[in-house]
Amino acid sequence: MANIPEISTCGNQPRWINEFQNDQRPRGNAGTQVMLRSLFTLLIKEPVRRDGMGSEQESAVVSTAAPTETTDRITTSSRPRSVIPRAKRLNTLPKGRYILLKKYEGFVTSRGEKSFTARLSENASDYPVLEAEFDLEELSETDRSLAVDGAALVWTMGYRYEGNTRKRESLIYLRRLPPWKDAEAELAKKAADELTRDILWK
Amino acid sequence: MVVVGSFNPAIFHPEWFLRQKLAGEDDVKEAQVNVVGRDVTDIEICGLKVVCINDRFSLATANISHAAKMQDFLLHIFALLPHTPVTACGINSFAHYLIGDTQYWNKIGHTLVPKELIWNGLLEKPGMQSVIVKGLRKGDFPGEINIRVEPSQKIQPGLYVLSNYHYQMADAAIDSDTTEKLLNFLKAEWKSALEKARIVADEILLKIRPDDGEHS
Amino acid sequence: MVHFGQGDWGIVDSCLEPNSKRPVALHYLKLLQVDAEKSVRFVLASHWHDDHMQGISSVFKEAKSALFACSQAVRTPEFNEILSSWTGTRFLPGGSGVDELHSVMSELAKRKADTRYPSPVLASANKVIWERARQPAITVKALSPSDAAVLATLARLKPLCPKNSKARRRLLSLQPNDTSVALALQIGNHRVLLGADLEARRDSGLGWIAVVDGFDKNEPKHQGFKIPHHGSPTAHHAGVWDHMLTDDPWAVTTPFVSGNVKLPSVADSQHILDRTTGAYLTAPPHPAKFRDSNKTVEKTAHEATLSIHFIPGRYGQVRIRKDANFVPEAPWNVELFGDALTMSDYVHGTH
Repeated sequence: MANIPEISTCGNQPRWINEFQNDQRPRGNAGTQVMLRSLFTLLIKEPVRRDGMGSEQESAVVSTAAPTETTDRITTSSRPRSVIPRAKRLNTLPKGRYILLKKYEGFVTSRGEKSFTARLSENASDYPVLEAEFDLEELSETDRSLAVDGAALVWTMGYRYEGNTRKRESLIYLRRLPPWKDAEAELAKKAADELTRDILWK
Repeated sequence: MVVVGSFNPAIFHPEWFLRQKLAGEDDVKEAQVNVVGRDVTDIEICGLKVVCINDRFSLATANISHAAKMQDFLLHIFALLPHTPVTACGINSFAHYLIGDTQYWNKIGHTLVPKELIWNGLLEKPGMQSVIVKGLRKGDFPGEINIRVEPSQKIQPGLYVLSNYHYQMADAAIDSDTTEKLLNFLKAEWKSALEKARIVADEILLKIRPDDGEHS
Repeated sequence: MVHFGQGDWGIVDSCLEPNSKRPVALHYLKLLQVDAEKSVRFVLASHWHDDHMQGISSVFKEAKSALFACSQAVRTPEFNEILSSWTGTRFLPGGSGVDELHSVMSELAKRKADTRYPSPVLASANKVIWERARQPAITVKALSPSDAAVLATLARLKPLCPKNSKARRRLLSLQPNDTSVALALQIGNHRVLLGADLEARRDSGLGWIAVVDGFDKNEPKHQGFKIPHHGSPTAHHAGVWDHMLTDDPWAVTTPFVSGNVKLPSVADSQHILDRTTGAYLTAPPHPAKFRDSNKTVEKTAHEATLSIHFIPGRYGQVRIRKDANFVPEAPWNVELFGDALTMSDYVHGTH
């Protein structure tokens, strides 16, 4: 079986290695791999094989294509047979554990020199709504410029786990929404014009 | 979230996120770069995991607080890459629920997968390992909703619920506006997709009660 | 809300009832067992501030016999630019004046083909919004906005349009509010002035100066006044009290709380009390204390903020009634519900 050298990029140690293999059965945690295939079955409609306990660890199989033919030797007399590299799984989930206690969403209503005020609610239908004043120091330096009137934000409170340590956390995130593009604004204006065009005002 | 299409993984270096003002200098310094290359990218930045291979782009977080950030990243990325041919996408959300009581946990399993009719006769001590139910999603972005319910591997006795909102866009080879469809889907369905797992879990825990012998 | 007698109602602006979370107008009509579909003659949006717009589209959808009226500013291309911002921000949480505006326009678009529905009306200075000929005769007339006010507002709206601002944000309420629709109600021999959020500006073509200048001093004066802009001094114009109101009219206003702003202030209320003895507040301008069933959340929230509270904090209603057949000089009957109080009690802290 040919071995492919480790791929090294950006000077960092790679986490996965390309291998040629002629073994159809998934290696490692069979249940995990089967579960992976199940996840991608949902997306790309491949058949599901279920032969073990599923694990909820979400991971990607880089290649789900089954080898059509396999060889572990290339000879000059025979036509080389194609072998599709099968990579080990990439972990698509970052590590970490978080318990959410509360999430509010809202927008900035005013900004002062050292603080900003926001109107927030847990659910869209909430009434009365929450109004909170935050010190600008609660935001990272990059985010402070984002706290302007009308800016959308999310405020969450919960516990974050780092190893065995549990930390209570309050996090304010100012949303970085993509700006309006001219084409999009034009389309939106057309839609508004279309909506109001035939209304017969007195 | 997973998007199926045709991508150039090499784009998604932390510096790119900095240039697009999605991440700050500190975020870039703290980013974890596993690999960035022509065929694959695997990085962690701003609490989000970005994994991209040629035909698949995924963005994930283990922290629900970052859900809005994920949406912002996705909206930005696909607004900046409007000509990316995308064919399908899925928004996945999952959660673990502590059941606490083993008897109640077993009751949930027995209710979702009754054993009496078939399994008791075939297996010794059968137990539910996983249930997947698919349903249709109507509206402006019709597709499928796939729900998986399993015993939790993280907390025991616990329940794990995964929800997948699948959206199959038209053939990218024919349609040039699949990215536009993706962006509109992200805006319209994001919130309900994220809440689905919780709604399903709430419904299960509401309908299958621990105290009484029967369930509604 | 106004009941004109004989089952005819008019609704001006909208807010939510905190328990049912329904528009308070619909909630109140249901309590009285009044059919909103048949009895409401007009729904008027005096301006597009969030705190005046909550639920107005639901009110209008239910009031199928009602005409819709709002400032003539909505019929301009600039306003459509603002309306267009809805498509790019509707996925953001929380409702807004723009959301309600879009919802109303959608309902109007649906109704346009059906002649059973009354046509919507664009309000401008001295334009009649609705009238009833049978006795007691009713006239509901807009006193604003002036053409100059509309132009001034549109100039301020332009930079906020998606094409110009590019930023995807919630549109906050524009201040000062030049296109607010103040109304003069004539019910038989009785007159009431509804001030909306119209402010007093230095420019004679704008705000209350324009309204007072346009008011015929020979006309009968108004016996009641819905004080504009929550009693704020920015909406006070002596000319209104001197020329448009009777001596000692009843006056009522609603509170406003946002950040450090609490209207009316005690000082503002005292100035109002210098003009009339019969002044009322639907609730004092106090927010409600923040509480959460999860004490960890409560603790964390207090630690993470400089201040935190619920708004609105207090809620009440002032009901002012009079038989339309009575003489103008006859007193009005005032009832207070919930957290409503007299302005005197508010000033003296006796509440």
